[in-house]
Amino acid sequence: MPGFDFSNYNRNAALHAQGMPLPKATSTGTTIVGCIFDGGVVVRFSAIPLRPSMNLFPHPIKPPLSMIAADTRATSGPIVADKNCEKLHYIAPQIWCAGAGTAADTEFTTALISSQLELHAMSTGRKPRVVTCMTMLKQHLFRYQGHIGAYLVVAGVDPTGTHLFTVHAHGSTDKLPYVTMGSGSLAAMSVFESKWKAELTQEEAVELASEAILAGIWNDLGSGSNVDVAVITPEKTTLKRNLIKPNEKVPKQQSYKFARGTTAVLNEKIIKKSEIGRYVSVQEVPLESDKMEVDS
Amino acid sequence: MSLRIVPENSKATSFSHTNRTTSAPSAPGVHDTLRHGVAQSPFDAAAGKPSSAHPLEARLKSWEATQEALRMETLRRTYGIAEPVRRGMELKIVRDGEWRPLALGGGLPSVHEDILKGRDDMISWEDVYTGDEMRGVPGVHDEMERKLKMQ
Amino acid sequence: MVGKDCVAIACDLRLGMQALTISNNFPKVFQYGDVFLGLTGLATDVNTVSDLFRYKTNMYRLREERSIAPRTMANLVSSSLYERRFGPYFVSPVVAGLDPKTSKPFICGFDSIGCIDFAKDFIVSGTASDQLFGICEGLWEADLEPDDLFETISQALLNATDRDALSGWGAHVYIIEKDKVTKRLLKGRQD
Repeated sequence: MPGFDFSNYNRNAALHAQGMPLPKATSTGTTIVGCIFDGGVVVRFSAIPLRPSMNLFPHPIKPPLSMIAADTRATSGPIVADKNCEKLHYIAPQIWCAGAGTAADTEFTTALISSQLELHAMSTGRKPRVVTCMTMLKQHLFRYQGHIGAYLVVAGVDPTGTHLFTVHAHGSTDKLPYVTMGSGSLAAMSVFESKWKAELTQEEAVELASEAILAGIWNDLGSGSNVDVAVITPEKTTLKRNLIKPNEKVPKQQSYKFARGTTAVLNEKIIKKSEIGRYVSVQEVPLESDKMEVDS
Repeated sequence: MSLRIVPENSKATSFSHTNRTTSAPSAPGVHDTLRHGVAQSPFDAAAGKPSSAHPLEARLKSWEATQEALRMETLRRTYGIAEPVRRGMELKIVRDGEWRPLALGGGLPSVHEDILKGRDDMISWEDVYTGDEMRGVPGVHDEMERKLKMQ
Repeated sequence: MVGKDCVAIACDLRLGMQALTISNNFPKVFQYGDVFLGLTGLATDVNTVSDLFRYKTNMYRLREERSIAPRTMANLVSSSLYERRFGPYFVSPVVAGLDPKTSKPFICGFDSIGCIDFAKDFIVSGTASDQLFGICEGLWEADLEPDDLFETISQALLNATDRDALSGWGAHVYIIEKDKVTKRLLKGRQD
């Protein structure tokens, strides 16, 4: 049967019952946020212009924009496994996903849904929609009953406008103008709740989301290191990797190099590429095809 | 006939290795790696026998069948029994018309079958992890004998 | 560990059953063409997984007519481990090698279900990983020459395993450069 391989499960359960500790999966232990904003150039009007000549606004109507942001720490229990990991995942050019929860699950789920969405877009001949992506994610995750621990923020622009969703591991979804997820979600939400408004320019929105992530970085132990931001506009997506780096390692004042010969060596073997012929013999076999007799 | 969306919770309370066909005659219950390779037997896998007591495995294995049953039941209620019967026959014709030996990577549904099921624009873990990479490949005679119920 | 145009990968040699040491010659670093794979965890899975990747890299070599690149190997390891998401092998692999085209050093580590941890400096795994994290953060510096990298990785490993009851008993260190690989056996405590 194709699909996931469960054949080690019973063995692992038996080993665990005998006191073998189960391996710890890397968790993103994250602060991820997403928000919608109007980009500061929306001219709202309801009346249709009376004459075509009146339709000469300096700025055309623009849909609101969306953005997602994340910290860059990956943890394994209390240990920081990766100080600068990437939690913003590509789904489609204009649809991006921020992932919290089990790191491998967010990585593979978004990769699979990205492929599925591309396939769907090619089959229908239309640009992929954010709702389609969200539906695929929730159906996929619901099927696995929360065993795939992926908590995602999906944001993007499609022909129907700008959308922002959260998807939980069991398959429930939310649609909100600003969302936070992961262990640092409370810290990040406090920033959004006090400062978010719909009328924000792109710079202000990036600033606000960064501040929300920074709240997570400083106040949540599972989040840390740098701030990644992705701004998605109808024209393009800008991924700002390591936009803010407030936790750079201070360079060492002195070198701790050991003197050569410090370590006792019992045996040494050097294999050089040029001498590989001593271990493996590679011979060009002359082409026999010319000699072959062919009926003609 | 029910309109069940997800498979019923059939969590196995016990799991037995002894009914596997991959054990040696002299040591029933123990997977015989030398004869059957490191993975599950292709015949066990094709029959959809679970390889563990994980609650999710049974659910995933019967997921597609449950969804299919729901679709067919809905069609029956809407159009009458003729519609699901017609679809079932089409599917059977397509399945019987194509046979790839397991040695050539059989077991996965063909393109035609995928189209009839409406799965031609979908990709899931079942398409990525086909599972035949590590599985011992049976000889074509062995497979035919089983297919024709000679064994 | 990454050095200047070189990478190093090292392992201890103990095979144990809880507190009982079974063998002091159980290397955990395996070579597949120009890529090195380190495996820590349950010994039976170390054997199974190393043979599995021997098979997979050989099949890759036959199909593609070139040996596998470290980055490709990393993705192969990752997706192979994720196939067993719900019944994982108890291993946490480390991949090290030089990119065959650019000769840039490449290292990465994985958890048991295939989440890749790309690193620019060093990767640790196994029972002494807590100790190794600390000592490597302290000792590692950028652009170490092969000989200096050997001293740094050896001292980091030996001193970390001395403070871990479950590992030690000598070590193997591989220094991988563009045109040669140096394998050294280190003298370590046997207690």
